[in-house]
Amino acid sequence: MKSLVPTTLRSEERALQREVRAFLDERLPPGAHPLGLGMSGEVDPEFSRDLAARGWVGMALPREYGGGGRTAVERQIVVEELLARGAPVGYHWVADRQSGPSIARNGTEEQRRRLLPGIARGELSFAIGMSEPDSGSDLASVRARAVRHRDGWLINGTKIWTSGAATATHVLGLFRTSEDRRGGLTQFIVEGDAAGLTISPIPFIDGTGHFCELSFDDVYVPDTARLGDVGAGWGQNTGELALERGGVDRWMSLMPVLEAWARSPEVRDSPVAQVDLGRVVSRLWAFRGMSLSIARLVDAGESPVAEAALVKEMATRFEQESVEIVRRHFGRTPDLGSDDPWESLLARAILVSPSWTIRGGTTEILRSVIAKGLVSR
Amino acid sequence: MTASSVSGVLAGFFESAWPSDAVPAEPEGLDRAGWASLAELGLHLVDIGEDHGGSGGDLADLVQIAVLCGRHAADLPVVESHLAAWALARSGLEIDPAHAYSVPFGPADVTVDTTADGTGDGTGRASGVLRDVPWGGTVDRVVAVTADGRLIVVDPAHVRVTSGHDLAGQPRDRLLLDGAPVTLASSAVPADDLVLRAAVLRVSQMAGAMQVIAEMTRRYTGERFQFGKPIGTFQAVQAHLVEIQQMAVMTTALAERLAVQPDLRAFDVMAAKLVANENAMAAARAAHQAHGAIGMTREYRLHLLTRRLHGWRGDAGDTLPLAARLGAATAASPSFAAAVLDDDHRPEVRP
Ligand SMILES: Cc1cc2nc3c(=O)[nH]c(=O)nc-3n(C[C@H](O)[C@H](O)[C@H](O)COP(=O)(O)OP(=O)(O)OC[C@H]3O[C@@H](n4cnc5c(N)ncnc54)[C@H](O)[C@@H]3O)c2cc1C
Repeated sequence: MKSLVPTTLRSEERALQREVRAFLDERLPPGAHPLGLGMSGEVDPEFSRDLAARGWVGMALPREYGGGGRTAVERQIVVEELLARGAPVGYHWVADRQSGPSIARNGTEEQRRRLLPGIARGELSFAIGMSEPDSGSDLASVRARAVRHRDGWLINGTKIWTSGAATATHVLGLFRTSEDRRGGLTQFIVEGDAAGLTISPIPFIDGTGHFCELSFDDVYVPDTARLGDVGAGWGQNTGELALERGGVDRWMSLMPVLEAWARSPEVRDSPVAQVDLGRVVSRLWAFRGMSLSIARLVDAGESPVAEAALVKEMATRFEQESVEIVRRHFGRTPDLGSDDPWESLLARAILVSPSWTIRGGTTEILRSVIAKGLVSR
Repeated sequence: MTASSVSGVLAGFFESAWPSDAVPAEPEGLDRAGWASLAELGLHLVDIGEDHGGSGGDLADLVQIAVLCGRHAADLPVVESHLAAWALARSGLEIDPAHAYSVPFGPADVTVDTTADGTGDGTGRASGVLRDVPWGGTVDRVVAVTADGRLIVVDPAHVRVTSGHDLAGQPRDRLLLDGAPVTLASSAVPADDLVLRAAVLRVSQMAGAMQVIAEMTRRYTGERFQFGKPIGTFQAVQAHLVEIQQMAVMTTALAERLAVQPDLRAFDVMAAKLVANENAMAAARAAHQAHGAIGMTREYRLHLLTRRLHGWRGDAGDTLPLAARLGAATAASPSFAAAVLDDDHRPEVRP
């Protein structure tokens, strides 16, 4: 395992931090936007476009395709400020974090020109089509199939738990193109309105509708929808998971809840609650240092997959523990329908926090990833 | 010395002084011969300027030394001597490079009478109690900052010593001063600064101990067979390995993060110590679980490390008071997020 070299923000990076704060203070004054829990924030295309107009979507994409050509650390700075406020990031999140960088890395010149500028403008929204009813942790077992047809491909099968698919313009999915377990997987980019693709919301535990099931019924896509070589899907997908796991979004879902809690009377008047607050703030401060070091490793050209898994696994568990801490001091069961946006958000956090150790690789699977990393040293 | 040369060259010294596979007996007072060879290298005087009688180098070098002390379960007061010498240097008093020093980790309930001898020449007579002084009765000098902010230098030969041991079996004494002659500094280092520095070094020692615990648990679970295969192949056991690794990596990152701070910020040091305390307990628990009965014995090396972790947890900031102070400071600060994310706006807090 690589060592996490300590690092702090440089002066231009701090200037960016101040700039983002000033923008968000104005664009998202408290109370004027629905609070979200981290990356599953509200879908607000207008906000995503405004953010993009500042250059803060697609920051890490190459400049020649409309991206910012900025560093992973710079992207993290923007992301931190967004998540701290529970900003409505749902529309552009997946494209910005994952699909855009994956297309930049694996796509053809034509695909980059066609898709990346729209991502960087905050206009395109992506969903990730990996999981299937019978393929969860064991992703290599996916069965939804793409078969050559004329100049392109015909796709059939089902994807499930696809976050944000109902509002996404594109789905980047993993499909079976041959029987070879891993070598038989290929990635395709399917447009959300493709003929034969039915997107049905699955009500989530808190009553929201980001979760979707996708059925592909003879969906025809041209060969230009294929991302990377036939059979290269598994490797590309694994690279994407590193992007998915490494970020601060993994331990910052609860930030708006904690922000309000830290300044609430429940804490101000209770030395017992302050003890818990001290624990929470210290550990998040420590995770932040690790995430920043991981971002610097990425900027140095490394791929800190095991380190990202190591942080994600413990940070998501700690976030769940933090929900319980806040709830305990709340003193009664928070009401999901409360007029107080903070109380309602806490109620949602109680309901959805179990998902934090499931999405992006379960705790158990991440432990296996880390344990393998230990053995192969 | 650069950080890499420190850890490279010194790893050899530490390995010969405290071999990784040995299970030494409980220490009896100060090992004078061991101390002499360590003092000759001046390891405890790193990050003290050469013009003050120190060895030079910086905090990052010193942190590497403390990490090695933790890794090897060194049974000499390296960190304690450093803290005392650093306080002497900061207060303008002389350091004797051959001396073993210590500092109290408990309160210094001592009053000083400077008029007793009527000289006012930097000496006086002190009365009171110094608690929790590692090797306090057997070092050459004990250095303490009194409640009213004076720095005193005590010769244990002139005080009554109640000897005791910490959870790791290392000497941890109580010094009773009854008009004992002491040397005084005209300007003393603030007690807070001394506590912060002590906390950084304890975090570093804890990081080192956790690194070794991670390595030895990995090795053991690869060698120990049950049900016909290495126990490390069971997922439930792997979960322990993962947790220990996480605690070790995280605590190391904390120590190294503090090591590069231009000035030690109270919030950061206290947060790091709090997290390290909790990590230490998690790592110790998981390591014992993965080892089974053999880890519970004094014949196997694990106890040297886990017992130290228990003791260090209480030094220079135990979990509960740290959490209370950090929480109160955070509650009074304008933004929780800034406390986590913003280097320029950490909440104000005192150790
Ligand atoms: C909020 C949320 C958003 C999501 N968004 C998306 C999305 O946008 N796109 C997408 O494709 N997917 C998405 N997912 C799906 C997610 O990737 C899967 O839920 C996850 O990979 C686990 O798969 P599963 O739910 O089928 O559980 P299973 O794989 O059936 O696992 C059930 C339990 O068994 C354990 N288990 C399984 N195998 C092992 C093993 N080998 N060793 C030990 N334990 C094991 C698991 O850890 C878990 O505890 C989302 C999930 C959630 C909760």
